[in-house]
Amino acid sequence: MGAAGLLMSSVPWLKGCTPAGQAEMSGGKVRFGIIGPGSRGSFHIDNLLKIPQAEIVALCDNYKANLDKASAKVPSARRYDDYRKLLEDKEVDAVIIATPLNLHYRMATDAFSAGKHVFCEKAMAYTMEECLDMYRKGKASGRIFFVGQQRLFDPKYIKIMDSIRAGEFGPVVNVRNYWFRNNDWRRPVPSPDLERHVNWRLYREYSRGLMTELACHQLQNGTWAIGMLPKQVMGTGNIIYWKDGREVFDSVCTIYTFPNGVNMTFESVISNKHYGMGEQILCKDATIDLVMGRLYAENPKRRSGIRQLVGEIEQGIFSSSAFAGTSWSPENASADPGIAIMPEAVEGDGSQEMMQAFCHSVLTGVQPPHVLEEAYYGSILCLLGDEALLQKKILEFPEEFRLS
Amino acid sequence: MEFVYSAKNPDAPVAFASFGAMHSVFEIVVPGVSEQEARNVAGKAEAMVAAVEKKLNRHDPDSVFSKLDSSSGLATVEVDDEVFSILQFCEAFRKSTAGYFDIAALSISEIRPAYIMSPEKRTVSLAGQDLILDAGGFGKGYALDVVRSMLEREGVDNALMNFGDSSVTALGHHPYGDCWKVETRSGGGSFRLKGSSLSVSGLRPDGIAHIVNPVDGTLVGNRGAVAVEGCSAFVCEVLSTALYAAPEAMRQAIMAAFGGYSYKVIKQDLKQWIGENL
Repeated sequence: MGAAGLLMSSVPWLKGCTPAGQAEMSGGKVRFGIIGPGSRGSFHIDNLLKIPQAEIVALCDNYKANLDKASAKVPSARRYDDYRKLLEDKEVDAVIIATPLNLHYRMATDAFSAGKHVFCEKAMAYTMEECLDMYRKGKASGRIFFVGQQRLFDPKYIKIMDSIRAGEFGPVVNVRNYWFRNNDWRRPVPSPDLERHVNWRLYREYSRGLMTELACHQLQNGTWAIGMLPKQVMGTGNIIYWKDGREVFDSVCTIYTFPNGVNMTFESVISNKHYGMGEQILCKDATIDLVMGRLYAENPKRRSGIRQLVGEIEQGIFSSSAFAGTSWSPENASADPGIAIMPEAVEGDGSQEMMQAFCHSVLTGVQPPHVLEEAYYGSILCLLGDEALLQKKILEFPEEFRLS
Repeated sequence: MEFVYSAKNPDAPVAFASFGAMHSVFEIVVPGVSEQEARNVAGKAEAMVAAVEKKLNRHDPDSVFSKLDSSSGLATVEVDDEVFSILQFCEAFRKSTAGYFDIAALSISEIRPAYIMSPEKRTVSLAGQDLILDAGGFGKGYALDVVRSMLEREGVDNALMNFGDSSVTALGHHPYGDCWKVETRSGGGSFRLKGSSLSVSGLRPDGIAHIVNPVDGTLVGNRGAVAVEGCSAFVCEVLSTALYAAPEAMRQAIMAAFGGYSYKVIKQDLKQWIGENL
């Protein structure tokens, strides 16, 4: 449970992580079917196996290697190679969809039709139209519907976003997101005919590349912090290094602009990893580094080092001197150490809390507010960004995709 | 060395000296002495810290620590009385901190004690292969104690020393107070040092973990800084390192063996920080 329980008052979707939420789930069990127990699906299996209220009863994959690996983790689960058969399984209450992006829409809407609760990996769907239809069908079904945006469940993010939204650091003036890696983003392929099946992230038929796989998580930070949707996006995307037959960009740079003029950037390159992953909210009075979990004041209280005792003694002043240290250079990056957002180390990235919250919602029948809407807009923004890259145009946020 | 002497305040002339050592900076403020006296003790301090570093720096091929670390447990190394005494203390501290202070924490090998000492021959050898001895957890504190003794011998009554922003030692008091008041950048209020030292362990200033838990070999994450106050800077640094790595439940038990020393866990609250800085 960790720190999540402390945040319940402001974040209702974490109720499943609190003692009260645990009590509400007492004795209940959610029977899961996992559709796509590959890399991400396997990660969810590991998390579910730690949750007493979760039971994995069915597994489905048309790639036998992944199905076998998942079966080894949950030998008792029934095996399917067609998701429609799994949806017919009456003992499955909820499904986790962790398949290639182009399959999310069909599988999720079929699952709603079959009366299943749905947890779908991000991005929500391949097109904005599919996202909207999926959102509406999910709501109409009355079933619980989560999309895998785990930052919404990360205690560090929740704690600091509350303060940002309350204006404690002054207005948000910029949001910077980046994700740098240095690898070809490929997975080993046992035979050439499985290339597109295994490396689906590299091909346009299945994926929108860096925008749907990486940006989707980070673009949420801006709307969450600022409390509004961007009005436009522009950017550029290219294949600059990994010219190996892939169809999605290996280098992208996008700028989203909010109605108040504030910019949010997302940049990603997968041929240099020096700067790694970064998510930073720049406010007038402070900077929040979400990934490092630290907070920096623009003008931190200056604490005198012991060198300054000389000047103080000259003036006959007796004051408290801090351990010396940071030097301030106006045009250089600040060397201020800042402070940790959470006083204690918080393990994980919210994924475990997210699964626990999903179980709580299924067992109590209560869809938590905002979670689906935040995820929906995260997906819409990354898809709109990819459209801007493909069209090489500045695109306005399409009003027809604004939820009423 | 940087040296500043000011007699602008005739009631309280003051000297400041600073020099690099142990990959860090040593600073000293000495009020109420002549410039010549100040230069004398500052020069001696620099020489003494350099001598300590020469013995303890495992990256210096001439140091005892380097010779031991490169011996793969095969060599027996002669040491002088000072290093022998330091190593004896370190082993005693390891035992009395339930293993949470351990100069062999960076080792792959779990053999403990990590080294074998021969009092008759004044020699030391490692207890096996894949053992590394590192003075990072106490070197600055030990050097502060050495300089403090020198200052006392030289008749300096009042001084404040800071080594690496992690350990401070105070002699006497501030010219306009009954103590030296210091605080840490991580908050936690002021400490009134009267002939005592203070050592703080925690994350690096940039938020990166750097202290290894000797018991399980992992880096210790954010637990709030631990400040230890007491007479010896050496012991303060040992204890702050050990307490930072140790579970909360163990801390009182460790401190019970160290009369005259106290500790404080500094966990700066977000709202408190906002109040102080914004």
